Amino acid sequence: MLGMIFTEMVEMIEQTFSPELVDEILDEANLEHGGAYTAVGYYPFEEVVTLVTLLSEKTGTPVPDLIQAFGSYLFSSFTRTHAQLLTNKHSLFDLLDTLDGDIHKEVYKLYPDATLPKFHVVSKTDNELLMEYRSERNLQPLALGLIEGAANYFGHDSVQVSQQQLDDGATLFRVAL
Amino acid sequence: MSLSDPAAMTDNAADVLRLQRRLEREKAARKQAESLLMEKSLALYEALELGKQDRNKLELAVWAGNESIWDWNSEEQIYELMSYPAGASNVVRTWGNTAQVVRRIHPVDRQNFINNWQLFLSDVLDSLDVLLRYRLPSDPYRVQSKEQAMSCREHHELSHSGFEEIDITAGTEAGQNSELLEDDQAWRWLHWRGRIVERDKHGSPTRAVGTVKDVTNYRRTQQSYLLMAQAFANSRDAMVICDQHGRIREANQGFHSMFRITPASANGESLAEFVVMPEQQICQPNSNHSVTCETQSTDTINPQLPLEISLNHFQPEDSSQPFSIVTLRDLTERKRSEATLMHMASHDGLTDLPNRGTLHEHLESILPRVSVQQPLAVMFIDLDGFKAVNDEFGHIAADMLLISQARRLKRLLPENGFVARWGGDEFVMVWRPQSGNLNHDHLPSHVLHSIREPLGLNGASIRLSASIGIVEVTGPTLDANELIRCADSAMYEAKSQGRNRIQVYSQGMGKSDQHRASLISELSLAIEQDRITFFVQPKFDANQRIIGGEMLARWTSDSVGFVSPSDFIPMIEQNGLNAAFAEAVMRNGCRYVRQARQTDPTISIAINLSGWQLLDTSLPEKLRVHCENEGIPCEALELEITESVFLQPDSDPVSIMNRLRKRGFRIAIDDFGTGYSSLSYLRDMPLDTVKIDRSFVIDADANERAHKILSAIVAMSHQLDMKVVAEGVETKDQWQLLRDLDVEIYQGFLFGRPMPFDDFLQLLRQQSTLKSEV
Repeated sequence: MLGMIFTEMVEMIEQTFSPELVDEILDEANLEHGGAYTAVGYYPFEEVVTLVTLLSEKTGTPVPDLIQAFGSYLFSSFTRTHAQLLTNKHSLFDLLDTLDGDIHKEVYKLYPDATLPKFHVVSKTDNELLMEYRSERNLQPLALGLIEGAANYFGHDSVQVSQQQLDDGATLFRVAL
Repeated sequence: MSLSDPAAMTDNAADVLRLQRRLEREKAARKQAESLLMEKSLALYEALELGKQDRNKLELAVWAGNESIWDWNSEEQIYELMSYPAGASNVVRTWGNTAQVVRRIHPVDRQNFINNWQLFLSDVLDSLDVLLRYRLPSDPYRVQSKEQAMSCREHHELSHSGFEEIDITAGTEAGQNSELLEDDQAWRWLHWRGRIVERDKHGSPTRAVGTVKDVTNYRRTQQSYLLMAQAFANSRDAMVICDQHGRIREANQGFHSMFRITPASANGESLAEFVVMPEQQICQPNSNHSVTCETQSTDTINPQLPLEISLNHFQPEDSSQPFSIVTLRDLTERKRSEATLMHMASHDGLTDLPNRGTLHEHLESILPRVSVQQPLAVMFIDLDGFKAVNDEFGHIAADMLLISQARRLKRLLPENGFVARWGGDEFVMVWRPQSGNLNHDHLPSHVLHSIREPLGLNGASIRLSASIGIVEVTGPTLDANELIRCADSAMYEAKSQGRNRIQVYSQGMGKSDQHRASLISELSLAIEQDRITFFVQPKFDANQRIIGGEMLARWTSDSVGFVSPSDFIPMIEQNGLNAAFAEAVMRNGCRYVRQARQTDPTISIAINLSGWQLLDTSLPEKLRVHCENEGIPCEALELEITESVFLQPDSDPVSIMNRLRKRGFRIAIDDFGTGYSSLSYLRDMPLDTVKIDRSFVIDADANERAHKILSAIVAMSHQLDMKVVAEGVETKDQWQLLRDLDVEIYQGFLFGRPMPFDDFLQLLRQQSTLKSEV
């Protein structure tokens, strides 16, 4: 998994909770590299699971809620660090509509080895967008957080996002403005 | 926080430891990042190197493909061209603009390029794909910098739709004149291809990349193939290409027309459906490994065509299977011409009957099968009096008559019979006599009677007869020539027996032919040696006084004795002895005049002229020379002609007669009243004397009607200032009658028979003596 996810998570825990909690978790996680994450490195997915599980234990917040909050945090972080990705994206639906086409293409330029989920827009009206999500890692909460973060970025206060598990393993997100 | 506070100390120490751990983590992360950066840099370097190699490979591939790469962008409105000229080690880069490209394009192709380029940039076309003629720079290494290309851009470069400023029909920038434009070698065929590779946010093309390739050689080869294909398609001969199984793979229009089929119905069919294919052993290939022989279309083709078929096998370079190219030529016309030629060579052009050669072949072919049970008869038919018809009515009318008689003979021909024209007025019929016995066969008499049937000719009704000779054989004892000779001999026998009859050949008849041949050579010698003698029959006036004589030829052969003039005169005419004989007549006539005039200076001698002599324009001069040689006046020689001279086609006897009279010769018409007498001759011809035929005189004696006619002729002759001579006067009654009609001159047995010249001179002398005594 991209090192950037780990560095961003560490930063989020620091900001949202405390540097001590970060130190505690990294220490307890007993990682081979001691938690020395660099954004341009790659680390096993299991380490994220370990970190989030420890965070949940320490804070008493359920894992999905933590991941969702991280998604939201991650998007706002993107808007600062990778602003060029959002050029010409004028609305939430614009952005969601071009995730696979434009955004991921740009991500691959920077991180050729990235494992990215697939987003497929099934239908789109002015107020509602239906989108299928497929990922090996089934990080639906992360996706939800990212959508919320994006909605927040485009100034939408009340976005209703519901999800439905489909038979073929995909998850259908309904985003209503 | 106080250092003395142990709890605070513990917290501080914990913070320090935590910060130290964090620092360690940060350090480790930095090292990790540096190491990763190094790895990435190396990877990037390798990727770049690989990229260069790939690009080099790509360039080599393009070079090997004889292609150049162009890269055009809309922002600068120029293109970069990377090419690999022959012998160059590196890529040659040059820049240019579209106007420069257009100016180098052949005027004929310019508009097409402009249209395609505009449609390409307007996204109407997915890709650019244009073939055009282009004048390459003389120096392939000449390059233009990017700045030069940009500085010479024209405003139309900035628009997708505007090439209007370029005169698309003008010569190229090299300034070619029209002669160069026509020079195919000066132009290269280029294949331009390209695709849009970049677009702006509105989707408009901003960059296009493609290749350009010199395909001149390919194009010329293609044109050469096209030319050959068109030659195949448009050949007038029917042509097909067949595979090794004889199935039609390609057929041209000529083939479709020949068999009246559509192109679709020929392909895949076997050629044997249309043409009877020749057997291998019949057709031996010639030195070019091609086979040509004659065949025909199959039974299913209507009408069936005679064909010449030529087969040539070949193996295309890209095929493992042999093919053959088959050319078919319709021989219908040629066969027809051959048949016509064959017919012409074997048939008589006038009557369309088989000719002599064909007759001969026919006889030779059937003679071996002749036997007692199956005898064969040959009939030789000669038309009697045909020459007279020819003389009177002319050749064309006579030809019509021959055609009619030939038709009659064909109609009479039995089933197994054969009739040919032997020549002139002679025909030969070959048949197998009915019931094997000539005596019971009616064919000869039918032929005889059929020929005698009257024929209408120029309004007149003509009745001819035939002399027919027949020979019959009951075994192959004689050859074709001998058979015909026997029939001919029998025919001569029929003729000598009075014509209009049939004579069957018997032994010994052939001898008369030999006899005749030897007689002709004897006659020829006699004329040459001046051994023809000339008698003279005296002519008398009303007082029975000799006033002249008619010179008459006599010949006594060494072998057979006396030969009648009615026999040897035709022999002279038929055997080309005329000229020498006529010379003898003129020479002796003039000599007789000289000798007779020594006794009586008023005497004139008449000689007979043949019709052909009056066609000879030098006749007056010849006669004058003879007269001069003997020292006699022309008036003393009288020239007797017969009416037949007026019947010669294409002749103008009148002008020669006028010239003769002008010289002083007197002209008499002989035998008037016989044959085709026409009173108009008396009116139109320059004559001095009319000699009335003996038959007329004989009739007039007994027949009042004939008497009146005779009387009228005499009266009219006198009216026209012509003297009248009565021939054949044999009785005193006749003489009296003629005297009553005021006939001036008499000739006949009553007064004197033809006699040797010496006897005539003797008579003259007696008369002269008598006169002087009186």
